[in-house]
Amino acid sequence: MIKRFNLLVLLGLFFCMSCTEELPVEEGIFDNPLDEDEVSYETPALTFFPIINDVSLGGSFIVSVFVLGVEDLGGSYVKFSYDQNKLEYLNDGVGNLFDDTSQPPICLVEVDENLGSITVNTSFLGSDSTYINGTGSLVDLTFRALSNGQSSLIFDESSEFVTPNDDHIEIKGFGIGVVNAL
Amino acid sequence: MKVINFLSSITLTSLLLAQSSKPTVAILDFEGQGVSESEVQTLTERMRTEIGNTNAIRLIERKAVEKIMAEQGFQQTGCTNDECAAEVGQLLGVQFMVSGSIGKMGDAYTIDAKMFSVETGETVRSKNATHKGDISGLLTEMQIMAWEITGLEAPGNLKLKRAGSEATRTVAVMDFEARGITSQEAQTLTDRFTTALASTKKVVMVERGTMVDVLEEQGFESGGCASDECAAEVGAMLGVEYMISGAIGKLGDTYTIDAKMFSVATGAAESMKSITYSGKVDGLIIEIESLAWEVLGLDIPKSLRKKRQQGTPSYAGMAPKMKSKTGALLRSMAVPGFGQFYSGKTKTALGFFILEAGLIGIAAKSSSDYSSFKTNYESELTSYQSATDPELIAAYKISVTQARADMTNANDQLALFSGIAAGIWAVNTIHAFLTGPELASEKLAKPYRLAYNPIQKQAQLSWEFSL
Repeated sequence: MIKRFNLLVLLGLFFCMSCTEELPVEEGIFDNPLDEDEVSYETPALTFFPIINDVSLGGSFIVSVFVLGVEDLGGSYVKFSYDQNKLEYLNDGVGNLFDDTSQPPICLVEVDENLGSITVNTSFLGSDSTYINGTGSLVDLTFRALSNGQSSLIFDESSEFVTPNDDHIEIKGFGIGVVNAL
Repeated sequence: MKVINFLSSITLTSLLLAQSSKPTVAILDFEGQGVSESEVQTLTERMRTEIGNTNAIRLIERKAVEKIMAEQGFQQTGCTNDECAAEVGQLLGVQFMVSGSIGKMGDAYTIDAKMFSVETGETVRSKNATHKGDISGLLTEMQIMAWEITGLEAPGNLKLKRAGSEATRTVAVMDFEARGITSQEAQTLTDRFTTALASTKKVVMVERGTMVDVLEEQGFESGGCASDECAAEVGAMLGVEYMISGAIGKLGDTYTIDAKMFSVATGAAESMKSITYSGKVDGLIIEIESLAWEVLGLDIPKSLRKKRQQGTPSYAGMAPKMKSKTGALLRSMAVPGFGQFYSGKTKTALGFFILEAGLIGIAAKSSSDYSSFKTNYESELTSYQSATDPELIAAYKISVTQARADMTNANDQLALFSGIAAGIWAVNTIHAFLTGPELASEKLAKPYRLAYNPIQKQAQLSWEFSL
């Protein structure tokens, strides 16, 4: 009996010695800020993409302002702040949110480098029926990292969406962009 | 030099033939340079004594030389040139004169000697020697010079003395008598015995060829001189102090070797040794080497003792190859099934080997699959993270989930099969040990055993029985 027990213990030890590979961490792998099923906030929402930007000191990067899960979007007023001591605004371009529309919108970007804030205004001219549904980038902005450290891109809650009839659309969520300058 | 030696030999030989007697020689006291007169006289006297031992010439005594020189008004030390020496030689009526000088230079002493014909004044032979060290060492040099000036080779013991060897005993070995083995085997073993004796460096050996020559001169064939008297006679002729004779006998698989060393002068046995050995004839080599040391009363070297304890290669080879459970265990640990194969369980061995190989193969395949799925997973995840289109995001998300599931499955399979393989390996090693071959001790546990006991130096037949 004792011999059998010893044998089983020995076999158990050998089983413990069996080969396994280390599986990658499973939690938090679906971290795309545009994945509506995974983000922590409800839609319609505003977010940055990529939401985390790692950039070398003096290097530039593009961050897009994304609209998530919106319906009947006819115009928008989006304001967000950045750390002007760490980031320098360089330029901007219209995003792909309006690619499918027959009429291109007016897109105005105002930058206050002293305050470190950027305001984006978009609207369609001469038509009351043009609107946007879904998810897409409103504007693509290029920045340069001026100094080391982490800084944030934070939407102002005064930002708003409106329908072609100028009805207010509630923005239910705001993603916070992070910039790591190394 | 060789030409001079040749000519001088011819001269001496012709004189010998002409007169049918040994040539007559007188030795003048050597001239001393840096050496005292008394020392020179002593050294010259040593040469006179030794030259008489050569038995190759007739030496005119010192007193006769001194008498002639006194009559002529010379002192020995004053007659240093060749003309004077030749004149003295003519007055003595000798054929050859030997003169020379002994000098000192720093720590070294030099001896120069020459033999010249009184009749022609021609130098027949000249020799020189240098000695570093105490002046007493010149005594040996003078003895060697005595032989060499007469054209003979100095005896080995003198040469050894010159070399500073402490070997004191000169020994000759007679071929061991063969009893039940061939004479060639006996001769081979005797040769090994002689070599072992020489390796002790405590004796001066006479070469076998020299002894054979003496035996032939005495009309003996090889092995014909078996008695102690005959051996002593041969020893006397060889000029050795001791003779060693012996016999090697065979009875069944048992060999006996008897060796005796006795004094040639007295015939008294100096040492007698005998050994008994069981095994092949070539196993006797270690025994006979040991015997050589024992006969001389010396301790057997450690290396030889170790060899003896371990047994001869041939004897060791006779022993059955010992298999053990541990051997089976270790083999199975190295290669599954190898231990069973070692124990003679071929089918089981093959079973374990194939099973283990199969499991390892499946585990390896799982590992390979895992790597492949992991690469795919990482690729899909990167695509998901960089996607901005909601449809693509959803599609990549499904791919990532699938790739992760595949990867997890492959990993589970790897763990399972490698675990089973490890288990089978463990079972295989335990099985190899438990069902391994009989222990060597069990195999040897026969009721009787016949073997040579190197400690007691004899073959032993042991018998065991239960009461």
